[in-house]
Amino acid sequence: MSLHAYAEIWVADFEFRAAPGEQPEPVCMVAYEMYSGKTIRLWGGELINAPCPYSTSSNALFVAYYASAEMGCHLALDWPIPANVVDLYAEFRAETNGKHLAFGKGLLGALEYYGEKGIDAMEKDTMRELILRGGIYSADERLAILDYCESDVIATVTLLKKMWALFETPERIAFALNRGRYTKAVASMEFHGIPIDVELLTHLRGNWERLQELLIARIDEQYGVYEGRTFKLWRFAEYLGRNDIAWPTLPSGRLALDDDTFSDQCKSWPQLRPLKDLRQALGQLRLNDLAVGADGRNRTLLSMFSSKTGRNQPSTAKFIFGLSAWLRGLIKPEPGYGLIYVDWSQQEFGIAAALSGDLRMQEAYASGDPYLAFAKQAGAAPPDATKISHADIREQYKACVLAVQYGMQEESLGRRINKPIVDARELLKTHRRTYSDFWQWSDGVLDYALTHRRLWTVFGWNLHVEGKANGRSLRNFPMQANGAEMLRLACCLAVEASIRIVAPIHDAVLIEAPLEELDAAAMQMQECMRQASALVLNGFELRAEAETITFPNRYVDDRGNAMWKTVNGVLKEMQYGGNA
Amino acid sequence: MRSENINHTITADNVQENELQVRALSGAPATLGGYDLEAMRLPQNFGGIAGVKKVLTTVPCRKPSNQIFVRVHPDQAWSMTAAVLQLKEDGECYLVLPELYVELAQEVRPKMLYTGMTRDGNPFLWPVNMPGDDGRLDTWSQSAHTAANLAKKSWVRLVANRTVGAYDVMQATNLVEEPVWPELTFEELINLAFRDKVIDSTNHVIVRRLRGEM
Repeated sequence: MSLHAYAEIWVADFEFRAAPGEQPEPVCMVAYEMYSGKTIRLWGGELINAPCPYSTSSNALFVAYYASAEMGCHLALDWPIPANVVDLYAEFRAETNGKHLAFGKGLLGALEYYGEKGIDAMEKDTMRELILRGGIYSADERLAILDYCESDVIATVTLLKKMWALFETPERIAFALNRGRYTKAVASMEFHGIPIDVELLTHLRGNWERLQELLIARIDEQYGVYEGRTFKLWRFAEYLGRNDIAWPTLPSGRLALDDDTFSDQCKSWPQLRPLKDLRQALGQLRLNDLAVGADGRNRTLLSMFSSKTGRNQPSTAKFIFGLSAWLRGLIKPEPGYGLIYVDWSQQEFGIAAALSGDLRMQEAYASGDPYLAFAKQAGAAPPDATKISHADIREQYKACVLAVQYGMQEESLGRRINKPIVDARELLKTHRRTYSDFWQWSDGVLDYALTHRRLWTVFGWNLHVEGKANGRSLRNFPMQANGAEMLRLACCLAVEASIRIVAPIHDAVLIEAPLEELDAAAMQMQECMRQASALVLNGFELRAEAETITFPNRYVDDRGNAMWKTVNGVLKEMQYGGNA
Repeated sequence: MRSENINHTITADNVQENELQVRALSGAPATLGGYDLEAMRLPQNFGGIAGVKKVLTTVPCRKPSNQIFVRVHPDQAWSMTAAVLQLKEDGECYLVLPELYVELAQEVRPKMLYTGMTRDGNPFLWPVNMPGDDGRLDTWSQSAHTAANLAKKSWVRLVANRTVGAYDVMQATNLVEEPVWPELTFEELINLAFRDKVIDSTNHVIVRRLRGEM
């Protein structure tokens, strides 16, 4: 079977405006049917008042480049969502992921990759500006925009013809449809957006400069590392010395101050978290980039399939989950509604256990507490040990499991568990001995990647290995990329079951439901996640847990709780003219 | 994540208990556009198709360190008695051909070569003295044989006890993992251990050195 099996193949493109945080506002649409050669061009009101002009049934195929945008326009127009979608962007990414692309991964880049030309990039920019301008268009401008839209459709048709040979096998078509299916879920998530406490956001934005100054005064009291608004390295070094905190250095000998190092160190020295949050808060300019629409919803491009592992990669400034953890306190359900955060329990460990076929690892996952199970399997805790009776041991073995997942070396693990390197080394060796089948499988992943220069997921997301390879990333690819497959599938299942997902977050989703449907929605989402894990892992199910937030409560991330409280305290003092 | 005043946490178990509240999902999730996605899952056993395998190139012949736990291959076919010349200064063992044993009796001892394995998965040959021509065996070697036999079933570590003139044998009762033995024959293992270390004539450089001829 090939794409020829479809009675109709519609290639379409929409031009639309989307102000920050707002739903898309379609401007025009052009669709072309591959067999009949029929072209449909619709402008403005014609779109709004017309029913969907092409078939969306199961014997028709809808093709676009970056199809979540087209699906978003379908939602905005209340048109039915096509049953079968192939997104050539997703397919181009799946085919070329990891390769250096001289012309990028946009439509023009994809055409260049296959030896074809699209319209001039300059012309594209000009037309985009014209579309974003809005207002009333002259007849010539309308024609120009419609022609531009049609030129993208023609380019997409050219690309489809170039890529046609890829879709010769049922597996390849199924994988393409599976990714196309996700573009529909993405459109739905982007369309709904995340409810934000706009009043508080406005207050934060309005007082941001003064708030920063007061935060420095309040938080730096316990560190003494700031002079004015400047973080002084020598003062920080003195603080570390006073508190006997070992800190990683750069090859130059200077203290490493990047976010990753700070995050890593905060795991060992939680007292540093407020300082880390303060540094991040000072780097965020007024939160103006956080994209919140007039209806108080945070909406932004989720940037599907952007990372090498196939995960979404939304903007860290526009997406609320991309900001510092404490700012997630701005997420607040609307009256009458609740939010539910549903995440897989120890997803990476579970994936590794299932894919490697390591029975001891699977047994540890099945126990419900893989960290304690690992300690027991290694003989470090008795069979009747509990989370409470052996809390310290469990923490060490947990750190070891996470260290293996992050590719952490013995030095970092030693710092993490606050033990000498030799302890960390022994823990890592214990992991290798206890889960020898996993390690043998992991060695095989690396061997294959280095010899054949390619890896893939169960549903065909490829990684090409070019140039100097990072062994840790290659070993981790199956867990991360199959985890991404799992999340995509869970989102598809949930959206198809009319669950309102408002955000996907790495190994979790945030869903929204009326209060009276909250429990049922949570369970349904957990069921979707369990099904998705079983599909990806050949029947091995991962648990998913849910936490609900009901109005007027708000989302609070444990990692940002202290900072959130500090900020709110300072804001109140400012409001009521306290001594701050 | 948690919310302020969390209403409740829903665990996987709750879901199973309250399946009535789980609405049926629309459509068959594994079937997509007429394709059975589940049946199309691509293999993830990269090692099996990589065509790469670890090649064992070195097998040391030495007494196990007093700081590591070891196991011994339980099959008798994975041990043998051989004439071995042990150079203590170099920490090296040489296999001596049987026909040279009488001529080199001063330097050579008959030893049992056990196949051992460390917890890190590194195989080695463990030479332990056999009784001499007088039929006697020192207490060090006796205790080493005892340890080797114990190591066929459990992980052991040897610590010299000079007061009693024998090894104390430390048995690890908590270590449950089983060693993974190499995919080689014992003969191949012996060949690796004694590659370039076979004394096949009295003209061998080691023999001449021991005799002060060079």
